[in-house]
Amino acid sequence: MAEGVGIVQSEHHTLRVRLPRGQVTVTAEQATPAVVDRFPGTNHLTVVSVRLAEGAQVRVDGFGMPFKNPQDSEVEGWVNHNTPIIHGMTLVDFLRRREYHFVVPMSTINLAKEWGDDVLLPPFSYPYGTEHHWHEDGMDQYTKLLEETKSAEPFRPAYG
Amino acid sequence: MSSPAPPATEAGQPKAIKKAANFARDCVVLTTPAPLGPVFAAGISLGSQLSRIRARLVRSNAAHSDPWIGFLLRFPLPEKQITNEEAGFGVRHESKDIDCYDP
Repeated sequence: MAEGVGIVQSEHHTLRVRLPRGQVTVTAEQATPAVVDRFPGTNHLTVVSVRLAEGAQVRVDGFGMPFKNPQDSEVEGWVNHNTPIIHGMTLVDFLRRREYHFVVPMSTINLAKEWGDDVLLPPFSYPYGTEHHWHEDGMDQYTKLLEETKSAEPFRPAYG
Repeated sequence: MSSPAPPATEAGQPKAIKKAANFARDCVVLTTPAPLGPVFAAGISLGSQLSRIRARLVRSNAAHSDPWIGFLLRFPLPEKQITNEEAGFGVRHESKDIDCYDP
C-alpha cells in the first residue's frame, strides 16, 4: 500500500502524557553522585520532579488505541489488561499518580531552557476573534477577517 | 514587518510560530524520587535493558494546537508488525507531522 506523505509505520504504541499547563510544580536539580552511578555513560544528568496541583489531571493521548504484540505477551498485558508493570503498579496506577519523577541526560540549565511551563508559547486559539453577531454591513467583517488571517499553511490534521 | 520578531501572541500569526521548535529527549521515569525507586520506563539511549517501555520528555509547540509539556511512554509493537498483519490486526502508522514524532 502506498504511504501518504509523512505517514510511516509505527514501531511503538505511544501514549502522550500532557501535563496541565499552569497546574504543575516542576523542580529540577543536578543529579547527585548516587544518581550518576545508577545511570552511567552520560555527561550531565538532571533529576526532575513534577507535582500536580490539587484537582489537576494529566491528559493522556493514545490511551485505548488498539494494541497487539504476540511477541511479548507481558507488554500486551500491561497495555491491554492493565497487569502490573513493576512493584504491583499498573499503567493506570501510574497515570493516576500525583507526581512524576524523571532523570534526564541534560544539564539543569539547558533543561530549564527547553522544558517547563515558562518556555511554552501562548495557548492556541483560532484567529477568528469572538465577535460573530450579524452586522449591518453584512459580510464585510468576515471578508476582512479572511484577508487578514489567511495562512499559506492548512491547519494541521486532527488525527495522530 | 521590517525585521524578524519573536513569535507574536496575537491571533493570526500561524506562520510565525509554525517552526517553533519541539523538544524531545530520552529520559528515565522512576516511580519514586531519584536515586531510589524502580525504573518504570526509560529511553533507549539511557540503556536498552532498563525497561521495555521507552520514555521521552517532550515539549510540543506544534502549529495550530495548544503547546504542552509532558512525556511519552512507548510500548513496543512486534518486529515490523508482521505478526499483527498476519493475524489480521493490521499495521499501525503514524504521521511524521505530529508534534512529537520520533522514530
